[in-house]
Amino acid sequence: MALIVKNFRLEFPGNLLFEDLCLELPKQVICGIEACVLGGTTSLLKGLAGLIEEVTGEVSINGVSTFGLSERDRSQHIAISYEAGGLISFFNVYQNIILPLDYHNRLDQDISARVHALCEMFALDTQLLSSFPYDLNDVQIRIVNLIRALIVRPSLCLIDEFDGGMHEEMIELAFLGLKEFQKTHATTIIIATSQDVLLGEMDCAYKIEAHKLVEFEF
Amino acid sequence: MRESSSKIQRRPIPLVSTIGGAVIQFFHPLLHFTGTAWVIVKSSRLLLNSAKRRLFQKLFNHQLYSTGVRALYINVVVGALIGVLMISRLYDYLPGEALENQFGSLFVLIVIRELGPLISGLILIARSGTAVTYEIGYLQLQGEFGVLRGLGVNPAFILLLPVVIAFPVSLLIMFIYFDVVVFLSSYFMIWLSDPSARFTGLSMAVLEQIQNSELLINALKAVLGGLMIGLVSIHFGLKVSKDHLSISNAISTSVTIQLAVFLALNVLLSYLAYSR
Repeated sequence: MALIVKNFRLEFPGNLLFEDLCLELPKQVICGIEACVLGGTTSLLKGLAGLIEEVTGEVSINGVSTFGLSERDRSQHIAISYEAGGLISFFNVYQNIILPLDYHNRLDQDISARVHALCEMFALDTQLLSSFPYDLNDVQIRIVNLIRALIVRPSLCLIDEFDGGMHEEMIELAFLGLKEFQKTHATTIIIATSQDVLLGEMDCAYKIEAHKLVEFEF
Repeated sequence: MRESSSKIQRRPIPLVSTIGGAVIQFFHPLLHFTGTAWVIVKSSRLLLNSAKRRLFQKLFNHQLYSTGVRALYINVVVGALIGVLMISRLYDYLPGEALENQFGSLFVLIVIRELGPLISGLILIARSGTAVTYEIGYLQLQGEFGVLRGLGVNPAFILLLPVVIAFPVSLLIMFIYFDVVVFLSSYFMIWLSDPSARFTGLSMAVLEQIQNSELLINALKAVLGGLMIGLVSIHFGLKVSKDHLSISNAISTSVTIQLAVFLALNVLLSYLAYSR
């Protein structure tokens, strides 16, 4: 199994979100989590990424615990793409996309080709690479966030509110892009989404129930 | 693996919790400010890594350009007006020749020691301090710090450290612009009333009056003032939490505190250095 989650517990003062949550996912799987308002999916994704101190239990990706990872190790193993924001306003789109690699001195010779390939995969106009985040609409920002998460070729990619603001055709296109990406990279992808149609397309789907993840089928 | 801490129920003691709460409430902003400063200082160790230093250089240059270089026009306008006003007022009290003789010491006393640092600082607060508070507040509101952390990128290094280092450097550059422009406009005013006034003569008169103490105190004012303005801007930007209204509150509080502390710092340093 690529992702192993055991006894995951997350409680904020006066608000128990998850308790004794367990999950096991193999490589190259796209897993959906049904998102609902204030349901705790964003906290779950952050917790799995090891970004929340309050989490207890065990989360490992390819045998590496996500808790207490160094910045460099985190950038190699995990990528998280949030619902909104996340781009630095004074960097152009291209600079924003390569930032995690540039920061960790992991830029390859073929970085430009990699960026262009991902843009093509997610139908992002490459003319936008020289634009700035304030030139983009919400959907384009979301796609750029996604490309920035995937450019590091992470073992685990967590995507929050994948579909927000996107029309059906775009959702389908982006999802196909993710599948295409998975053909060549052994990435385990977890997507939080409220779209039933999209959940039905995934390799497995879970919903949050009684502080745990419960698998369900369409 | 992380273990959950066991919870022990304790009965609160009202008096102790009230006093404790008041103390925490009083010191909390100070602790938060110190914590912010510490996180930024800690992120500076990443400068030892050459790749990160290269990235930092880009961000620093961008910040320096926005804060120091682009402030040139407003410094020129304010400096020119102050030079004109200062000389026209001084002519009311000193006859032309006496003013030219005293110009060097008056210029150092009024402009280099006091007005230069003070007005440059006010411009930095109004122009860049507010912009940084807004920018950091907006990033905080958008959750961009969390996104960067999620990508294994230290947000303090990328977004905060360049501000903290660029602000003192910018302030020092602004002192220089300001002093030069005030000198040029002063010379222009003197030349209008006395065309025989020599530019080199007046320049030398000023340069002869500048001592190491003036340079040292101005550098201190730039470093301490710039650091304070940068840190306070960031501190209040980071306190933005829920909505756009909290950004305007953050800017308002930040500017008030920056003005009070910067003026106090200038008065204190001038008093300690120049009073006899």
